Amino acid sequence: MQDSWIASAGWSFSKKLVAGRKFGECVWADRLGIVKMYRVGSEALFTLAFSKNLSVDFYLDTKEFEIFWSGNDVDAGAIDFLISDQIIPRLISWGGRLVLHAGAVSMGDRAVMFVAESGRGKSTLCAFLQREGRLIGDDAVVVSEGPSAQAIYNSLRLLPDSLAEFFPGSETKPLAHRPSKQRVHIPSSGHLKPIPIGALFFPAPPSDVIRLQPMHGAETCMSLIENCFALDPTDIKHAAVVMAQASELASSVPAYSLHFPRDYGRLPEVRDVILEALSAA
Amino acid sequence: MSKISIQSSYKRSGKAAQSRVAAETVLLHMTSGLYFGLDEVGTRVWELLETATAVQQICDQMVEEFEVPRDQLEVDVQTFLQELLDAELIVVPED
Repeated sequence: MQDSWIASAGWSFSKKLVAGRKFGECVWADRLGIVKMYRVGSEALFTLAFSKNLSVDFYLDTKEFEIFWSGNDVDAGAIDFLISDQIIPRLISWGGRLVLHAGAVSMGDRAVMFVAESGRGKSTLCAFLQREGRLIGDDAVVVSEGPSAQAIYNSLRLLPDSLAEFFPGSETKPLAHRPSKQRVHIPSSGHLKPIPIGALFFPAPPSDVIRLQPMHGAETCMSLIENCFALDPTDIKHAAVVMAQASELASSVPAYSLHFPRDYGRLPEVRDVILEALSAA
Repeated sequence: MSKISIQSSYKRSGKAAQSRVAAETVLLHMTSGLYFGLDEVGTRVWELLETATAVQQICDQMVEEFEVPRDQLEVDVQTFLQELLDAELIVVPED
């Protein structure tokens, strides 16, 4: 699956075992400080570092990337996760499509999408809703024409408490760059073909009251931009392309901020308000 | 406090990419990389700034279209234009 995404994006890659890589000046970091970008020389060569022991050099001219890894905490599985969670979404974005940090579940013939940074409950919402619908993806979702949602892979990434709640006794693998999260693969429920997007939900910080707040177009567009993947986040020309894509999505699909308590017992109520909004869309 | 005079004229600086989202607009400053969201009213002012336009003229137009009291509108428009000016999204046109 990974290789076909990379090949279809026209890229190739290699892996190199290197101890103690040193980086130059950091030119960009994501909001959570997980990913840092370093310029190596020309515009067409830069490094994205995910930890001291895991970094990737991207060569835009030749469409190649090289993964550098070292240390006991990085193994082949960790590199696979890095490729599917962090690299492929960025390559697809660079190829001209909108890729969101989002979870999506199809309910009937339409998808509901949860767009947010890590820790806002995307995976929990997806894990709960996929019991009645079908999981599309819970971390990186590609927006295709329609607009429709398409996953890069079908696994769910859950914190231990959610895992125990939804998948007791399941086999899991840890995530390299998010050691507290575990990945559970859902073999039968997922699908990879694009599903039309019915509504967008932006999970808000926890609140006792369950409610949806409709969002205006500009606010939706900017919230989408905040949660999209980019290969070179300092590339403003690409940012303008992303803005146009986000505007199109925000213009064609209703969007809400979703306020809910982080309480498994109240997820059925959360599902009800989501489905109500979806049926009104 | 806004330094925008009601007699002065402004126009877009040409430094921003823009995208329309229903009745609203998102701007991206192409040097700073900062985004700006404009609501429906802000979007209308932005439309009027496509060519050099006097603040007075913007206010006349807005009072007519949005049926709002002139006093408050003038203050709001001046504050908004000051923000656009500070962000280098608009400039004073050269004669």
